[in-house]
Amino acid sequence: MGIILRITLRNIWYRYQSSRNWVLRRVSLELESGEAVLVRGPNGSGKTTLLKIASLIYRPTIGSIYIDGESFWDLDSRRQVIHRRRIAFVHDRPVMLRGSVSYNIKIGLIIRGAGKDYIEKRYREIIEELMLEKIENKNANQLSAGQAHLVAIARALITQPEILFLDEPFIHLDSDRRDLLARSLSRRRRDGVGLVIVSHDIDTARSIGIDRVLEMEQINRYSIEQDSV
Amino acid sequence: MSIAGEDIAGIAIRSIVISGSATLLASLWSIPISYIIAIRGVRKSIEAVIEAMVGMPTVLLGLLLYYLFTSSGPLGFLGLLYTPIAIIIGEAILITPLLIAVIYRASRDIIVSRLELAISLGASRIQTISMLARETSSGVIAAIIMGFSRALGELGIALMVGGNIKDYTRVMTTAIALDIIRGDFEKALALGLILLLIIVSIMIAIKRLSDIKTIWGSY
Repeated sequence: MGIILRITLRNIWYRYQSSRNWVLRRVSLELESGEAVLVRGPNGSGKTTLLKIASLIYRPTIGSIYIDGESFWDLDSRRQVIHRRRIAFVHDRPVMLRGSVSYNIKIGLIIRGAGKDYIEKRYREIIEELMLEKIENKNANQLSAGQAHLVAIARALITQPEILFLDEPFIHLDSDRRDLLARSLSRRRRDGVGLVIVSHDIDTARSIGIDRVLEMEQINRYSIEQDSV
Repeated sequence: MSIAGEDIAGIAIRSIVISGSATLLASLWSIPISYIIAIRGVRKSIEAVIEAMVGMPTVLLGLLLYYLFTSSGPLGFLGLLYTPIAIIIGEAILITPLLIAVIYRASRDIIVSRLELAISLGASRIQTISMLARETSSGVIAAIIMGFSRALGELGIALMVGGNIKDYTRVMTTAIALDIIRGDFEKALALGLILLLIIVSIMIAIKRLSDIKTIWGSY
């Protein structure tokens, strides 16, 4: 992967519509393809929110996000879609669409308008890599939490993102599947894919080859008393 | 088919066409409104108002529409009073809160989670809408069935703005009401049973169709 994708968060503040409390305060950081970043912090410290903002899902309440130098939220929707297709996000409680496992894995490529043969080729590669062959025809809404998690990761990997955001990727997996996923992610890292991982399973995360650890206490001033901006 | 000189089949078909049109019309604005409020979120008080509107008395709505459509009313120049269009408009307004409340309740959590997924997958606006429509279809179908049933069994609006004109605005419920006033209870009862049969048959047909669609959607 030659071209580096760089996402810059500058002075990000975020609070949910229903709340007066700031989840993120004055967060500034840079993420790029080719490096693996582990985000650590206690529950409620804003790790998931940070991931959703950095992966261009949530719009920050205050602050800017630059992607390859362009202010993402000032772009038109067509440009935003182009940038979003370069990254992927896997939630810690993945959502399955109505339909089979194979449909759920292929959806990212279907959305991108990829050809049928290419989708099928990439799909075969991914389900073999993550050993999902046995469940490929199952209804996606009847999977166990661990299976659903692997399917969500397969759905993200099939699109070959330049940066992959993972929220607690090992949480529902048994030790064999955890190792399988760690190997898969480690391979992606060597291929130049950026990984931003929120995980309490530090040992497994470190086995991927972490370049940088972000401590939420240091990057997010969430502990400061609520004030007005 | 006719009972005591009344063309029952004609009345039944008119009832289905009028109520179906009202449901279709109400769906045109209710589905997008439900999606918008599910995405943006609304205050609990607005949710309560929408749900309270579900029980709006049809006679009150009929009366308001009568004042609007009557020749001296603000919309009198349209000449809609005592026409099937007036009934369609009235029934569409009547079932709007029901459609919004049911679609919103059934789809709110699905819409929020699927919207995040669609964004993270890099879906365009049209692809996102299509994904949300697919994911929420069972809730939408349930709401449409309920709305259609309510419209079909509605009396106050059909009577007040339709006028129960033979072969023009007479629907099943107004025909039943007329027969009761005339004291022809046997005919009223027969019409009532036919109305019930129509509602149940249509519900079963829609449910079966949506089940088939769900099975297709799974693979």
